[in-house]
Formats: sequence, C-alpha cells, structure tokens
Amino acid sequence: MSLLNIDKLRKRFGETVAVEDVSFNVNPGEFYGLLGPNGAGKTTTISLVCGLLKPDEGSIGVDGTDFWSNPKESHRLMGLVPQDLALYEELTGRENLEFWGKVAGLSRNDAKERATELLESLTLSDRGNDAISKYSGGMKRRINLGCALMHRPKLLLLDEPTVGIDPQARMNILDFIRGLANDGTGILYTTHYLEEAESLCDRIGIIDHGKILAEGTLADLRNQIGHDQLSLCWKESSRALIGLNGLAFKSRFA
Amino acid sequence: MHLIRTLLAKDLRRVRRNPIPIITQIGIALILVAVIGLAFGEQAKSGSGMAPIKMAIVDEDESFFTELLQNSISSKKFAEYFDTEFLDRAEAMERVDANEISAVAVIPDGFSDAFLDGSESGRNLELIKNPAQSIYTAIVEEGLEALLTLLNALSRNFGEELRNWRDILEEAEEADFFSTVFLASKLLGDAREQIESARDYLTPPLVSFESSTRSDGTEEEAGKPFDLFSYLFAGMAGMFLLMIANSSTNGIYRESQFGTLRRFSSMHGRLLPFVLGKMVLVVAVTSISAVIMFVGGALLFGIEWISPGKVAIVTLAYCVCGAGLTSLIASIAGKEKRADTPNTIIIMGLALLSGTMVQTDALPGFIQDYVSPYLPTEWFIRTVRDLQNFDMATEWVGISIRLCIFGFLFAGVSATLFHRKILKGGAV
Ligand SMILES: Nc1ncnc2c1ncn2[C@@H]1O[C@H](COP(=O)(O)OP(=O)(O)O)[C@@H](O)[C@H]1O
Ligand SMILES: [Mg+2]
Repeated sequence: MSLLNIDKLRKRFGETVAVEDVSFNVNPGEFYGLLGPNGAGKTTTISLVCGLLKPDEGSIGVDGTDFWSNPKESHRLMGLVPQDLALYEELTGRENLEFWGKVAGLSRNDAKERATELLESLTLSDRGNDAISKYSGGMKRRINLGCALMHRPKLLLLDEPTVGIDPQARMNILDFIRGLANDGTGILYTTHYLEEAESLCDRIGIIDHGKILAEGTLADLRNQIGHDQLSLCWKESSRALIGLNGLAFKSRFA
Repeated sequence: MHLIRTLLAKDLRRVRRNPIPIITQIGIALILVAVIGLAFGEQAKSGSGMAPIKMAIVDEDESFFTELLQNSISSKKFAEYFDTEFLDRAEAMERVDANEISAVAVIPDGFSDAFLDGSESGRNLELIKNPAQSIYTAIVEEGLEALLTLLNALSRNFGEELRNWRDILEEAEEADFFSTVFLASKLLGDAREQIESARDYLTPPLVSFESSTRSDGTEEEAGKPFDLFSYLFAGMAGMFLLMIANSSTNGIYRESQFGTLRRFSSMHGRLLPFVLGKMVLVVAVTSISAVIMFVGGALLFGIEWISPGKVAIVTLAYCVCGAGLTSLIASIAGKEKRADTPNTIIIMGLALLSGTMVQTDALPGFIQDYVSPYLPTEWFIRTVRDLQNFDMATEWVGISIRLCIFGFLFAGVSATLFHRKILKGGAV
C-alpha cells in the first residue's frame, strides 16, 4: 500500500490554476521527486499534501486514510520542510529542534534525546547551542530539515530544501535524505535541478503549469524518449517545458 | 495545555534573548504615566481628587443672566469642579497675573439682549486663560465651547419662547433668588421635551455639569468628592492598554513572516493553541503595564484606588479581552505594515466611543444607546470609574467574567480566521 496516494488534485487561486489533475503516489522508502521550474505548482502540491491548503478537487490518502477525514493523524505521519526557513532566529539550534519536537507531541525528555541525535547526524553537535542567527545558510537549512524529523515522520515532504546553499552543503543534505529513504521513510521532494532529481530519486514526476507532464523511474523516462541522457530545458519566459533532450516530449505532451 | 505551555516557554525564551521589544512596550506605559504626570503638574499630587479649577466671571452685562449664572455655579455639582467668583475685569486680571486663577470668563455688556434677539454681534463670550495652567484652561475652554453650542442651539430653536420669557425674567431681577430659580426652572421645564431631544446631538462639556432645575431642594446628596483624576485615568488606561496589547500582538505577524505560523499549522491544523499561547504573553505584558500605570497613577496623581483588588481583577480581565481583540484584529488585518495604521485607528475609535476622553453621556445619543454599551472597552472604563466612585457589590465580577469570555471568543474567531486564510492560500 502506498504511503501517500494523490488522486486528481486540483487547486486554483482566483483565475490561476496552480495545480490541475495531479496524481501520483509515494511508497515507504521511496524517494519521489517533483521536478519543475519556478511557478510550476510544486509548493502548492506540497501544501495540499500536508493540509496547509485545501484542495478544490481530488483526494489525498495518507497511509490508507483520507487526509481530511483524520487530519490529526495525517499531520502526525508527515514532516514538512518548508521552502522558506521557518525557525526562531533568537533561539539556538537545539532549542528550535526541541520546540518543534514538543509541538509535534514529544515529551520533554524525548525531545531532548531526539535533538541530540539529530544534531549529531546533521553534523551540528558543536553548534547546537548557538543562536540560529549565527548560523550559515547551509546550517540553517539543516536545522530546518531537522525540525521536521523530530517526531520521526513516515513521510517527509521537502520543498526545495537546498535552494541557495553551496554545493558541498547541498551534497551533505542530500546524502542525509537519501539515508532516510534507505531507512524506510517515504520522501516527497521538489526541486528545479534536474541533476538532483536524476541522482537521487527513485521516481520523478515532471510538473509544469500545474500538470504532471511525465512520470516514472529514470529508466522509464529514458525509454519514453529513447535516449540515455536526460536533459531538460525550461524556457524561462514562458516557463514552458520545451524539450526533453530534443523534441520527443514536445510532440507527446504539447 | 501542554502545547500552550510549550509555545509560551518558547516565547519567553525569545524575550529573554531579545528583551528590547517588550521593554519598549512596557516602557510605553512608564512614559505615558510620566508624561501625563508632567502635564498635570504639581497640583496633581495634592490629595485624592483634583482641586476645583479656580476661575473668575466678569459680568459686564449685569442682566438676569447674572442671577441664573450665580445660581448655576453655586450648585454643588458645579462647585466640585469649579471654584468661581464674580470679579470686575481689573481685579480678575490681577489674579490671573498672580497665577491665582486659571481662567476668566467675561460676559460682555449687552450679551443677553443680543442673545435673545438673535443678533450676530455682541454674542461673544470672552475667555481669558492663564497660560501657566494649560490643562485646566483646556477644560474650562471645552466647557465654555459646549455651553455656547447649547446657547446657540437654544437661540436657534427656542428664540421666540426665550424672548417671551425675557420680560418675566427681567421682572424677576428684582425678586429674590428663589423665585428666579423657580422661573428659570419653569422655563426649562416647559421646553424640556424639545431640549431633551436636541440635547442628544449636542456636545456637552468634557466635565459635564447640571444646569437644570434645583428648585425643589431635593437635590441628590453628592457622595464622595468626585475624583476627576481617576476618572480621566481609567479612560486613558483603557486606551493605552489596548495599544500596548496591540503592539505586543505584533509577535503574531513576525511568526507569520518567519513561516513559523505555517509550520505550526502544517503540524496541527487548528491554530487555537498558537493564538492562546500568544495571548498569554500579551496578557502578561499588558498586565505589567497596567500595574505600572495604576501604581504610577497612585504615586504621581495621588489617586487613591478605593478597591485596588477589584480594579486589578477587572483590569486583568480587560487584558485578556484586549489580547483576544488585538489578535482578532491581526487575523483580519494581514501584514504588519499594512495593519499598523488601521489598528491604531480602530483602537483609538474604540477608546473614544467608550468614553476615554469624554464621558459616554457626552457622546451623540445613538452612540450612547447603540454603540458604547456593547464595547468591552466601555465596560472596563466604566467599571473602573464606578469602582472608584460607588460601592459596586457584584457587578464588577460579572463584567470581569464577560471580558474574559469575550477575550477567548475573540481568540477563537482569530484562530479560525488565521486557519481559513492559510487554507485559502492567502498571505497570513
Ligand atoms: N497563495 C497564492 N495565491 C495566488 N496564487 C498563488 C498562490 N500560491 C501560488 N500561486 C500561483 O500558483 C502557481 C504555482 O505556484 P507554486 O506552487 O508556488 O510554484 P512552485 O513552487 O513550483 O514555484 C504560480 O503561478 C503562483 O503564482
Ligand atoms: Mg515553490
């Protein structure tokens, strides 16, 4: 059974259709990448999945139950790593972790233990007692990620968690997330970097203008276009997907 | 409960790391008390209540008005606020220069005739203010302005009748004091109905006084001396506490700006614990401010809080209500920058409609009837004033409970609005 089952999701903001007819699922231990340019509808999709937005149509199944029939339990199963940092700058890294852990329902002691554990695995142990305001961008990103992991969610939602940090820090974070997937956590991950998606994801959904244009494993996608090499070209002005290594997809999805 | 405690502990920790915003907010209270203290000056310290304002009347008209005036100002109620004497102009000026009186009102020669005949000229009363006592003269001026509005309205609406009465009144000039009063009251009594309906829409004075009938001698026995300072103070506290609550509610805007509100919502959906957690902090800040203000009031103005315990409870309840209200405003307003001005206007408006600056019975009638009684600010201000002037057996308890209930109600609505905004994808 899928951990996350999304069916025909649709959301509009006034005239803008942000997400249309989006369906996919994420299994336990699976690393699912939602790949698309800015404004494609990635954040909207993630927000719908974690109940920050209510869909106009469609359904979200979490571990077999409809999200909105039991939002409390659904929230408990998920951890969201928001695109923008959501941290208290005055507090230390440890205090941020412990706070969000307690908000997620951990006891004081559990929160403390778990924070120590995460600081360790995020290689922040020596900086755990510094205020976030003193952290570098990469360190903030790591704490931002850690806060979502305090309650050991079964499904981790990551909205472009590596934007704006150096390649080294990015690799660290991505390795860490890969490790979580290997340990059985389902991952829904959005990015606009093809190479990230390519190197990490078990399956990829290519999204633009709120629609999933292609979906499948890396091999599936390669088969669909008949090339070994995937390359994507976002035409920034129209944000349109104009080609997937040549014209193969254009004719198919235009 | 566990969650609210977690949220609150987080905020307290943040305050400890960066105490400046909260110190500023509480500092506002200190500054306010100090400024008001300076404005009212030394006199404030002398005794509870305020000494009556000393003023002189120079009557150059010497008409039947003189008698009426003399009668009015010797009334008990009036004498609580004003210590008036009749002097001639030269004498009065000397007293002003010697800083012995606050103001001189001059009734010019021919005033009453001009007034009754409705002629344009000769109807100006003159007010000479002592610049050294600006607050008192402001009160006198406001009173006089209101009196003039009333006189103008009378002349406009009852000109004919007034003229008819002049002869009678003129005769009465010879007669004794009591018959004058009798006639005056009869005049007022006859016109009462019309006056009653007109009065609602006039602006009576800041310190209102009764100028109506005192003929039958059954005038109400005034209780304790009316405590003007505590009266004004309660009103100002009502407004400033709300402003302090508003600025400490700004924490909610920060949380939405930092995305922490959304993160919370992604974990819980319902935002009530979040709003309540914030409310506790706001209540703490406003309560501390309230203590500063009320204790400062006692020290600086010599206000003797007659029932400090009751005032404290009502104030605490008011802080709860204010915290809920400001968080409700925040949930409606959206972004902090955009909300700043409207919030201030809303709070000032609430305060004004609740009798902060003027008594509610000095507000237009429909506001008195249909607006003020429904405003929590008004409940608070009135209760603090009443506690100071009467024995309130239990009413204050009910009002405190009501204030709390409304505070939590506001918080609930606020949480729902915040949540709904997030669900719709709007800027929180
Ligand atoms: N709260 C909102 N109100 C109105 N329009 C929105 C809102 N959020 C997103 N949109 C619009 O929906 C589309 C998808 O946005 P988003 O999901 O943020 O894209 P992405 O995360 O892929 O960059 C964009 O056109 C964006 O302008
Ligand atoms: Mg996005």
